[in-house]
Amino acid sequence: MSESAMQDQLEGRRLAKIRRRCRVLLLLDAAEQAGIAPLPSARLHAFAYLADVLSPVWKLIPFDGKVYKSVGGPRYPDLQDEIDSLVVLGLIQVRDLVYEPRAGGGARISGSYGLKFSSKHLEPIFRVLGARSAEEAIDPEDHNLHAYLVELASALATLPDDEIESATGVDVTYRTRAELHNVVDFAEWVNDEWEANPSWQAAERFQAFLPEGSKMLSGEKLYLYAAYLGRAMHGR
Amino acid sequence: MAAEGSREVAGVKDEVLAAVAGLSPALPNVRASRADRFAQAVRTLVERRAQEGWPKEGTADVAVFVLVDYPRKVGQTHGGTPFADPAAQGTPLLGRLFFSSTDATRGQFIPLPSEAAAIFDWLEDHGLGNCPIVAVYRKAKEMVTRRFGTEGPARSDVIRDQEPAATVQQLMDALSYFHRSRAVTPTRCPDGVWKPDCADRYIPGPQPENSIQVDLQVVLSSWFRGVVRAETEDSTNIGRIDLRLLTTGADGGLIYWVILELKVIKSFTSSASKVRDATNVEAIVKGVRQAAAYRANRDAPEGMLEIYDLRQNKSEDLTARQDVAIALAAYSPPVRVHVWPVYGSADDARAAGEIGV
Repeated sequence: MSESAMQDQLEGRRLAKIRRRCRVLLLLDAAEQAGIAPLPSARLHAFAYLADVLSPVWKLIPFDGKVYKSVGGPRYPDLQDEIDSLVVLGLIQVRDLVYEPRAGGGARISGSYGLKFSSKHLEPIFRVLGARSAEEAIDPEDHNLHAYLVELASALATLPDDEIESATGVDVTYRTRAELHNVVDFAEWVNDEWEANPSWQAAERFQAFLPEGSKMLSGEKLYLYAAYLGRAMHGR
Repeated sequence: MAAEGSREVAGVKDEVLAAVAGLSPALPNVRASRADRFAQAVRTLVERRAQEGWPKEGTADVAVFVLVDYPRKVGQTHGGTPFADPAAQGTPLLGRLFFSSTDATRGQFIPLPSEAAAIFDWLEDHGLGNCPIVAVYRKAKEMVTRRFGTEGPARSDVIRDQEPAATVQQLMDALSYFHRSRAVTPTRCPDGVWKPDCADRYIPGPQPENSIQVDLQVVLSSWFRGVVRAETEDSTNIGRIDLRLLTTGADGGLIYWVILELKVIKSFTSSASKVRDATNVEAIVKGVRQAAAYRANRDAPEGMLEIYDLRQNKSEDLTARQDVAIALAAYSPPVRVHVWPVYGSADDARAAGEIGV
């Protein structure tokens, strides 16, 4: 491998890390605004997954089009690495640290995560990430992404806390998609993202039950899908 | 990709999704501004509590809700206690100050930190003076909303003891409330109804119907939360419906209930050119035809034409003109027509007999 190719690869990895860190911060900001933070690890990963699988409802591209299906719900190891890094960097806080035994042996450390409001770096970061306005964002489209995450977090806030992570167990894609090596792929290597994402299909399907000409907005679809998850968890 | 939502979803029963879709009249008003959405959420919570007879409440009379960006951050600062879904949990409200999320489903609360009369001072002293606020008064059955914080204008609403119902009488009450509280004078009017600083000369904004439409949707959605879905911006093959109201039909699904067509009659255009009576009559006739056509198009039982009268001289009832009578007679059942006077100044409103302006 040439030196420039190696540099490109390193640069790519560095950018991917930064993107994941920004993702974590935006997820937590949305969760804080909706009042569901701090989020235990499993709930934060569940929120990340639902944000991905439902992103087409808001006409956004999923951050990650696949997820590892582990015991206890979806899990993004790379994202967890960045969560831990952000704790070390003093941008997010962790509390209630516990060892969680894993089915295959061993354990993982889990905690409850929220923004560290005392950090003076948070506000400028959120400004450039579009959490305040499109004008201040590096990419104005990020403001739309942030609005989506806040709306989704607000929809999930209608569920009891412990049901937010359990919701992924009844999520249509997570529940029904055939898996290879425990990976649920709904937008990564699939030929047809609509067919591969029945959660998106279900959220769009609500419109079919309104009379012709009635228009359901994307935000309403998120709330209804959260209501669907709540009902599905209770077998209704 | 199949047309989005056009066919059943594998692994999900359609009847389950249909039942969930039926919840849509109870959803937060995602069309509204954050402050309006918050006020609507608090109203729903408080009215439900009032309708239940204020269970679990002590002797306190006042509750205050403040919409903050980060409820946990503000709560931590003041030693708050987290709350979640106070409607379902029955969390007592009175005697407390809530630092709330937009939907009033989550946040933190503290005991009211001051006398109720001094709470705005407390909010200002603690950097919360610019946040949207809703103050709730049980004995007075009143809810006062300040969308722009302590220094902003206040809007008062009655806390209703009865659940709303989709009846024409209640719709008339809601339309009357909208007129009285949001339209009758320039200080209460939605932005855009009048050209800035030109209300006293009766010069409207360029698209006053649009401004009324947006605010009316917010009011109707709040008034009928849980029983009526209020929608805007519907383009049909015969034109554009201003507001449509849907409610639950006999089979549990949503059906169209009322089509509301909005028209403004005026003395001047936004560029201060004079508008003839004949032009206003033409607008009314067109409105009658549109309300009837959209009602038929959507198979709705009710079609209404709501006329906001921005004329300087309102002495003549233009709906009594022959052209309007002919238009109305062409449809059965008739389109209901209501005229709401809108004044360019509070003095004019008072001179015309409007009370409380």
